[in-house]
Amino acid sequence: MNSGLLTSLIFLPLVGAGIILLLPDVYKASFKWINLICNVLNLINALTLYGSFNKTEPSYQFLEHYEWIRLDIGKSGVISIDYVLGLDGINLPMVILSAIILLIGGISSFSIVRRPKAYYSLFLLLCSSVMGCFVALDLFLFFLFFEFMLLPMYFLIGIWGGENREYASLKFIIYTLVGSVLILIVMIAVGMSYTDIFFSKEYGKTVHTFDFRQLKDTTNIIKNSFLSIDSPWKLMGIPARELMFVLLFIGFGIKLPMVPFHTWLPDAHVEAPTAISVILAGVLLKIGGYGLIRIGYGFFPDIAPDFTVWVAGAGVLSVIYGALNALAQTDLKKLIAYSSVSHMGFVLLGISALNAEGINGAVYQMFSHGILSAMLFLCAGVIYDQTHNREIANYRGLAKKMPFFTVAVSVAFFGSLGLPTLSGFIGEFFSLLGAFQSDLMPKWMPVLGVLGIVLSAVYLLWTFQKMFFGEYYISEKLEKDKIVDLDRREMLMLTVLGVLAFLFGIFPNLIFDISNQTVQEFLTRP
Amino acid sequence: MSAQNIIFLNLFFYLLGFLILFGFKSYILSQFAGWLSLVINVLGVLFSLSLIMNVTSERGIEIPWINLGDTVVSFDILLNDQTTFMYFLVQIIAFFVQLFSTKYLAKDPAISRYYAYLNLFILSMLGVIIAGNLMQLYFFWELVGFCSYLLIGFWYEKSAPANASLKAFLINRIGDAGLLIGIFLVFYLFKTFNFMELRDRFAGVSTGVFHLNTFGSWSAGQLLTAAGILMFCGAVAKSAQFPLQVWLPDAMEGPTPASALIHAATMVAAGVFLLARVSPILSHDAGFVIAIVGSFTSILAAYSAIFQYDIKKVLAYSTISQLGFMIAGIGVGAVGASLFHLTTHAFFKAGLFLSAGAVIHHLHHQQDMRKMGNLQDEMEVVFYGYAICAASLAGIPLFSGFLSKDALLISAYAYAEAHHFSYYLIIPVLLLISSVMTAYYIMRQFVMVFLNRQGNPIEETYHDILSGLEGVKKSFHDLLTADDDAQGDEKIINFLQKLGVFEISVLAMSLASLWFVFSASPFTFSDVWFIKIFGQTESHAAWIPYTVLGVSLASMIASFFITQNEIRNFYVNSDAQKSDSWLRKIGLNHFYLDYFYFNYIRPVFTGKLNTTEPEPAASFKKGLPGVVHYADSTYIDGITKILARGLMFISGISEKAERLLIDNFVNGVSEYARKSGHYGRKMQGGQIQFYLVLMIALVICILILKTFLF
Repeated sequence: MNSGLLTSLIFLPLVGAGIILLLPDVYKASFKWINLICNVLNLINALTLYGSFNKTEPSYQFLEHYEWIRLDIGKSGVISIDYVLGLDGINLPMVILSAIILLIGGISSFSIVRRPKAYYSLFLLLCSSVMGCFVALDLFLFFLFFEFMLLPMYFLIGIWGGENREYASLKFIIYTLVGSVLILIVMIAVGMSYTDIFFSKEYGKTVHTFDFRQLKDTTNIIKNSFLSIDSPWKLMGIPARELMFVLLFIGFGIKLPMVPFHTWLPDAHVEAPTAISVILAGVLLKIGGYGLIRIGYGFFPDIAPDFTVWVAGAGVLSVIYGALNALAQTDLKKLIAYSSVSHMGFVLLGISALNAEGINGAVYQMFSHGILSAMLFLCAGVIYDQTHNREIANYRGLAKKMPFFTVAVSVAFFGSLGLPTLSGFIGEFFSLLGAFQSDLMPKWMPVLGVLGIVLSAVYLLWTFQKMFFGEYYISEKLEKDKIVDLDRREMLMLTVLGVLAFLFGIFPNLIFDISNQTVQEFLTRP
Repeated sequence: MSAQNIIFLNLFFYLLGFLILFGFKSYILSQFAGWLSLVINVLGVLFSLSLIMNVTSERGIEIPWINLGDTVVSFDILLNDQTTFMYFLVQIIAFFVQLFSTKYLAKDPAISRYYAYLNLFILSMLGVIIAGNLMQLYFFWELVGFCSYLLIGFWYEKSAPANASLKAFLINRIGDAGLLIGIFLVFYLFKTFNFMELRDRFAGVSTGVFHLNTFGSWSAGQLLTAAGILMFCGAVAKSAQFPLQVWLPDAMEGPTPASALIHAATMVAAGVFLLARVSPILSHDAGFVIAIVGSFTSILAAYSAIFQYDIKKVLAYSTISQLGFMIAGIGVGAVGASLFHLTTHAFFKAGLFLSAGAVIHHLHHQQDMRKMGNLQDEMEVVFYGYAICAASLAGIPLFSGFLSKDALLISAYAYAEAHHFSYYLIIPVLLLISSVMTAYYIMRQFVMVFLNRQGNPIEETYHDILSGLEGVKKSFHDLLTADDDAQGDEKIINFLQKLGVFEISVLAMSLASLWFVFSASPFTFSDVWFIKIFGQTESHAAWIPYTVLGVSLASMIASFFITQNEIRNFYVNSDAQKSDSWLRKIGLNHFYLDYFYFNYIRPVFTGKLNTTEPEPAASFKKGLPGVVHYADSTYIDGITKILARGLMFISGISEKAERLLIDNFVNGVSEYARKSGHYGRKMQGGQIQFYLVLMIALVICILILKTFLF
């Protein structure tokens, strides 16, 4: 099926950005609506894809394949870079998540007043590259979108962020660029070593391909090439394929983020405006997990099981370490940022299990974390917008003054700490179950992971108690001495996300039905 | 209607009740909230009765839920006698608790929220009961914990309930972590969560049909024991067993009727229920650990109950102690007896709590028992109700507690006997001592709360107290012989006139604590229909019940007099606390367990809290998280910063190098070019004479070169 839906996911926001750029500043009130319309259309598009997705088909659907670059490099063959888009059970949930969160981010951006033209055009550029990153099935194309995402993000944090925004955005971009460089190295190595057998015959030359569909098949490796299974290439005693896997692991690990490459995240989150925090936590981190599954585990199935202990270890470390750090925070947004580190650790744990429960659980956990962390950051934003202060100790007894907000926060908090009926439970349960069922890692790893669930209850509920229970009080130091409950816009966003958290917590098959076939095929391929 | 539809419709009503009551909590009149909730509950009781009719044999219903290829988790409903009975039990007690609440919380502005939470609680509790597999059980298990959190912290504006709710939830989380790991392990071993399949596969292990999936150097038996103990961790927290029992006394900060329902009758028994569900796969060693923990907890808590002054705290410790009985019962393999005790306890403890609630309400939120007394005439009906429930708790014949407790004691004894005593004997002995203590503390409470004291308590005499006891005897006599007595009719009419919402609820609970509800014979439990359904326990050790009874009665008599003394001392010496013996202090503080956790465990995670500080912002940067965060910001982020600085340094050098070397070279070249241009420029001065000289010089040079070189 080639309906162009995937292309429109990518280019519709670009068109929107173009319109915003062309419109004179007189119409600046309309920018947010253009942004909103693009995002709504994208959501409708994503839901259409969800509706017409064939759940029994494990491989890619809605394929769009166009030749893009054919570079004849003489004796070495032909480099073939194509525009390939497609969806399977692993990226469809991510696309839906992105569409939802980007729309929420768009609504949340209504409070941005400074330089709307630049903001919204960058925002739409971000939407476009995020979507591209998830649907691209060509490594070169993927990398292009992956890199392109940084540009709008850098400016969105650096211009519309908080006091320390330059530092945070610079840190963000440098960290992520380091990750990108690692991935770039892998891309070059992969490009050298894989061939498309079918096209090679047609051309009469070796065709070097970047197509995911070819790359995930180890029989397409050119014999005696850099990345062949028995490659003699070694660097510091590490065989080439293992090295490439490690590079991908670290590269995507930075994005995920994984301890010890996580320190960009709290800074970026604290300085970013609410809408951008929402997108950063809700969508961008998922690209790390998605990339690790799709590229790391996808291209190196022979190597991945050997690294289970490392990946799972990093996961457990992130879970515990993130939770302990969250417990030490006095700043609400930083606490949530560290909780993201902790919760994304479950994703690593689930992926490393290499079984149906684990990988499905990891995909679910990413989806669920996307929704819940978006809620958490929106909640932090509600407070910050009113008082411009995020210190937990400055607030007490908010429950009485802000009943609706309290309900929203409790849904977000209890969802994050894994209360059943909310989506967090399913993701954590299956990630951990998978890890425990896997014989590739020692049992103490998932057991320690379970400890993370206890700690998440400690830091979230303790914060909840400090801020919402007791007599009403806010510090005199704050700019404002009165706090009002949610306005309609905030209510709308939080309600939608809250309902989704319940929906996916009670009907996990909404995602599992989609992801499972692909995961099964992913696990059973030679 | 099929069983499945009955259950779903029933649960749907509770969900609806929760959504309406919570969603429109600001608009609903308090009267309406109570009525709505009661109607839903009555419907629920009817549904549960029809469920009992409907389910004749054990069966499981599977509704597709999660499908991951090999791993399929359905929404399972396990229907058997355990299920249907518990299903009824929870709702019937809930009904009376809600009825009680209509008066108890009538003036609370947030009453709609209260009923909403109760509806959610009943929904989740029923979910635990119908759960046909471990994951689903865990699902609802967490939800009841959440409801308990909400109800303990119902008055969230006060700090004590807020703290208590947090504590309850976190301690339960610790247990749940164990339970979760246990569930994972069971799934690893058996490849299923479903209770019926678990049982079948476990049976298949011995016949060689099914092989347990083991790992490492562990044997199947060891792993089963580990799984049993891990799942027991969940029960340890939820059913308040040692060492996690500390949350339950604090949970009494919640509204009293909610305490009756959740923290006495139903939710805390969920741990026992869980163990009953998984009992087919519990190994012998796991059973022993469970029995030891249960009996040990039972005696610890009973000891503490003796020294409490808060009316609800006594009952809280009593609940812990009785739960210990049930847990020990599961451990020794007497599942039927345990569930029987769970049932009888649910009624009489709910009755005791509701009585306590009535008393607290009557005395305008006075909870110190030493300041009570003289209530036997003022609250006559509650007094009777309380007396029956207390007698049941103490294990007096004619009351249900006698039957169930003795079933447990005999089972524990039989268990020890089957293992040739030795250290197994510790279990029945601990339970026995604990029963004697139980009789003691409940008598103490009875005396303190209800019995008459003289106007001037300092001059109180034994005579008056004894006359009080006479009064009790007479009242009982009147009550029991009312039917035969001609004058009885009037008395009954008088009695009925006193019935209010409180009294009806308490009486209902106490009526259910009479023997005939469960057994034709008041003296031996072998006639109990309940035990017949859930499995027979041998009752050959008939001497045990009567020995226990004898000692218990003795301890009650002792308690009666000692308590009088205690009351008198309270009036004589108001700061009696100071002269307390260490025995009393230990009891009052529950072995300083809470103290230990608060001062030694909690600071690890939160740093030492300075309670006098209004904003403890700086103080919680200590403890383990503080250290980790310090490491994070100093070292891990520090490495980044060092790298950045290193990069700046290198780029500084390269910048200098560029300026000194490359730039200078380029500048040198250009300078040379400039200078040579400068000289060259002079050649083109426009003077013909100079050109001529130059030309002649060049020609000469060429001639010389040509002559000499070529």
